[in-house]
Amino acid sequence: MRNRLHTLMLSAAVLGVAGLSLAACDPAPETDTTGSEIASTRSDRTLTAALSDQGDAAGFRDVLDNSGLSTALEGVGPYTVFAPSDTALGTDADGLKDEAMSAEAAALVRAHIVPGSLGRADINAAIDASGNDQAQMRTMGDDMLTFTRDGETIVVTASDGASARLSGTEVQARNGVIQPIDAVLVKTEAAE
Amino acid sequence: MKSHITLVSTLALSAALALPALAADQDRGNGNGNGNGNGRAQAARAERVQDGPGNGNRGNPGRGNDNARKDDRGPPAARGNGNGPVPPQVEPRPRDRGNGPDVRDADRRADARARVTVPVGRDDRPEPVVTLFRDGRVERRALIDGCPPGLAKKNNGCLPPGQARQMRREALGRYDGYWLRGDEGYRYRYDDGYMYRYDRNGGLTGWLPALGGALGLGNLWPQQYSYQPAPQYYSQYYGLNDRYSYRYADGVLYGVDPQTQAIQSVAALLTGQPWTVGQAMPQGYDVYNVPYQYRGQYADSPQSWYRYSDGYVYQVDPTTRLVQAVIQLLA
Repeated sequence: MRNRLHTLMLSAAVLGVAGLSLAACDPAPETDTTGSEIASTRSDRTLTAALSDQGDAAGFRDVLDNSGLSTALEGVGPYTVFAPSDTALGTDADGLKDEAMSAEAAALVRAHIVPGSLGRADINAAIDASGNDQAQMRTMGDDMLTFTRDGETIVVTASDGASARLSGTEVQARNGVIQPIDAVLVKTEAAE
Repeated sequence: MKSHITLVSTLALSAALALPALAADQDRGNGNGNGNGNGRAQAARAERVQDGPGNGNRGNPGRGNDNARKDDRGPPAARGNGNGPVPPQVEPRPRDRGNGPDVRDADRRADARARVTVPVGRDDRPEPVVTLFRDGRVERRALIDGCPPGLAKKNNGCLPPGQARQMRREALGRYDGYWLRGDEGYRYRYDDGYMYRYDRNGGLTGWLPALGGALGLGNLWPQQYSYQPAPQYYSQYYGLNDRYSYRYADGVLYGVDPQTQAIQSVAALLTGQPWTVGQAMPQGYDVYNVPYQYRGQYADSPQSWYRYSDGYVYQVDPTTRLVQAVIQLLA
């Protein structure tokens, strides 16, 4: 359950005191370059286990199980998983947990994973440094995600135009990061 | 004034492709063997990492010889479309001046980290050395061009004209968009374990076994599908056990039962992006993504960026975006 996790809420001022040296073993960035607060939850569990702790990602967790990729997200990684909410997945969560749909489930999951650990502070910093207010990361599905900002909210868009907003609280798991999102990053035909 | 920086670097040669594919005991994490034979990197020269772009820091990509795979089980169309081995890498290496770790010893211990001290100073230019390591990295696989097994090539791709017309008429399935690969002008379908690519006329022009489909847990490894044995480094980095033999294909590291050839686990997901010292970093790594436990050691600065990909951290020149060094992350 989420309440078992230790929630960190650090202000920019606190980070300022810290000198932003992010000394060697600092586990994570916890602010962004605009000075906004970054809500970050830390878990010593794996991504697969931490997804189970997410209150609004049961559907994505089911899809992950059906995809056969759960063991990968229990491994060394690290990965960053953009986890669509149950509302975002809608009825596709039921469809994609059918055993006959494991290939589609795997394709969906791969489209939501990028290599390494991406905190929101990292994404914001990359957007700020880009010169064109966007930053890109390649997914494990070999697609490109583009990050932009709408106000203080980070927006992520796939190459097919599917777009989502980073929502909720990021989770720093033992082997990566979970970034909750409010939409799915691949389009279905019905959505077009 | 002369200063020194220390780089932890290594090179990878994805030479594993020369290994026989079927023998289970041969594909257990051994990316060594005969793979070096095709690399022609000995002619390449590398400059020290502090130099700017275009200073010859490019190794000749050793063209792994697909044809050398005597038992290549991939379809004929798989040749020459990105399925080949990763070119040998070129790493800036200083002359062994006795002021750093024994790089020759590091060469002998190809699986170990090679700690290299690179002098910074115009009057102390290190002699570039090309090093090929036994273990390697992996590369993304392109779609296999041509006709899948059992379908002969026709005038219109692999399908008879009647089937092609039918394909054009069929509506897209709800999840067909999941298979898009960014190449316009094609449609993608998934059917019975395989992904297929069709051109505008409905001609079948490419195919690939799908993760979760033909490459799903419990399924036997498709006999027509070639793979790359897991490079030794990945066995170490991902902590692969001896229970399975591990095979890399198209961004996935699979654990396969060596007796039954059944896929038993997905050990890791990889991007398969090519990172080569002296060449531009791949697109899609704008965000600092180094694992948290290494951030103190590899923090971005005006002089260097660090990016994580597939078990390695890469040092990149922020201005030129050229890859400066490859860093293993073994404890």
